[in-house]
Amino acid sequence: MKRRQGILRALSHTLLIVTSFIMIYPVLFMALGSFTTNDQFVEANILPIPNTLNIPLFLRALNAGIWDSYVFTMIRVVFYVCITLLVGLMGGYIFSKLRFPGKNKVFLLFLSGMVMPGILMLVPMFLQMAWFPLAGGNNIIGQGGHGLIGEWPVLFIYGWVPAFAIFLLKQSFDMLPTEYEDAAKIDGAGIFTIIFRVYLPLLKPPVVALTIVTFLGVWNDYLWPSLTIAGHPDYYPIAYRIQSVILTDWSPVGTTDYPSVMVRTFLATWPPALVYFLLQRYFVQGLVASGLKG
Amino acid sequence: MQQNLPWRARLGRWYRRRRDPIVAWTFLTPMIVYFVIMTFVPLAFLIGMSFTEWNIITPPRWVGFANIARVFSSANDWFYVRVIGRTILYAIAILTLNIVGGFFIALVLNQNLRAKGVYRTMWYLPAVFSGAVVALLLKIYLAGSSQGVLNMVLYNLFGTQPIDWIYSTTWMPIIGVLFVVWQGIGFYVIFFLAGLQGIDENLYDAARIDGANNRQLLRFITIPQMVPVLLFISVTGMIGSMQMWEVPKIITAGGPDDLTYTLVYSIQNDAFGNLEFGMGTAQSLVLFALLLIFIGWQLNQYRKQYNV
Repeated sequence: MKRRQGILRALSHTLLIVTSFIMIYPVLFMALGSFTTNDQFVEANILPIPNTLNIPLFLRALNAGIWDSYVFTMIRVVFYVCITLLVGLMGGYIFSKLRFPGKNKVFLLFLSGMVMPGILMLVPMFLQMAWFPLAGGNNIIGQGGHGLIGEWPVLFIYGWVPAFAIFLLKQSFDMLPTEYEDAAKIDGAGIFTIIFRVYLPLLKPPVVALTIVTFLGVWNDYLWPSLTIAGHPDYYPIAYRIQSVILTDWSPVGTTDYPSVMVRTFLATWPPALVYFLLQRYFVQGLVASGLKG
Repeated sequence: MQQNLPWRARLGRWYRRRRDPIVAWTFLTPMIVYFVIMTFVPLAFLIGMSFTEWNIITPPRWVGFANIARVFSSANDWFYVRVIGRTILYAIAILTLNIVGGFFIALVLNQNLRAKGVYRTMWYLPAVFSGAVVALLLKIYLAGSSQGVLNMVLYNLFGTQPIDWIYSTTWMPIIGVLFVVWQGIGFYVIFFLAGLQGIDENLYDAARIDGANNRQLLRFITIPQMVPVLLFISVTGMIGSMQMWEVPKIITAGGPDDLTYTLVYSIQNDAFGNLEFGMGTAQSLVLFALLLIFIGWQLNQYRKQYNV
């Protein structure tokens, strides 16, 4: 029996080592390739062997627009993290701790909006932005101009009521007894004090999880920017920028400076990887939250 | 009884009774207004526009059910019907691999292994990246002639001739499926693992005392206990897998021979490529109809979970 278990264990480890390597192989290849010279790269058989820091390549890539995209994307990340936490905490508190008529109906409204796959809405959302009243040359009924298409607010205007964050935080509030706020209420504390002074310190895991999920969502956002901001490079988020900066240095035919391409991909992928490695223990909860989004 | 309470408690009670609705509605009203404008107004657009022919430059023209009829027409060798069928086939292939593979890996990981956290980390890693960015990376790997990294590595290892992967009718559909599975399977593994760890240990102990072997434990305890998780992830996974777009949008432009031309790509291509916004929305509506049963099930699950 012992022996059979030992064999099973060895088999499991072998299987996991091989499959895990396959899972990270394409990314590992890119990461190592970012630190090789071209001559070294084309010799690669299983993995490229790093032999340089490629600082000039990194600087060139950053100057080619990636740095600007870092700044712009981080502004978006901070904006969305703040709004997700603010609205999520308010909504979570209201649905969890307050009693009022119509509660279930509002909850159902948010739920039904949440289960709608966002991708179905791409075309009508595009039109909503194109018809946005009094923006981009539009008149009061949204005709006559290009609306918000091609303007930076188009990347900040959706998602202010993150239903999945409200639901995740409602569940977290449900687990905290109401006694916490009673004392604060007697002292005359308002809703903001109760949420941010009394409860927030107790909600660290879901708040970190939501921060991670929001960060990843915004950092990796590609489809919406590709439709609405194309042709306005000042406002390219990183995932969209990377396509244009890579295709300048790479084509299916002709010569390729491989490390330069790898460096650019590396610059777009290291932040999510780092956040993931550092904050893994909050991840499972964040996953449940992102799974909710449907 | 009420009279005997100290005045502060009575005040507190009054405050709670009267204040709750006022506070709640003060903050909820703007949220509801915003939510309706940004979610349900586009939904109304979606339905309305699918009955028009519109190129965004000239005013829309009402065409009734012509767009929907075109989606289901035999024109062009059932072009749109084949797009829908292909999308469903891809979704089934992706979902099956994700569930079977994800469940198997979760079972292996659920043993008391050393370094299992490291394996789990690696399995989930691809999922933290932008699908568009890793698709772009894949495009660079797959490129034909000697430009592609994959051909270069294969040549260095085995001396094989370069293959034009992206234009290969044999390889590209398989690679497309594997790419989506590669990026998404970590989610399934973590979800299954959480489900497995939620199973009551006592069930296994009781069965072992009755002399059950490992296979019986899996067949009669693990799998039945995992049915709710399996069902939930199948529905969520189906909704997600029907939305495959990275491969055609970034890598293949729907080719070769339209073999990777999926419904979401078709929606975008018709709306933003051919400026046929009516066709784009009509196809979105068809996709919505295809997913309706799954979305409805999901909504019902959440309603149960939150008691509303």
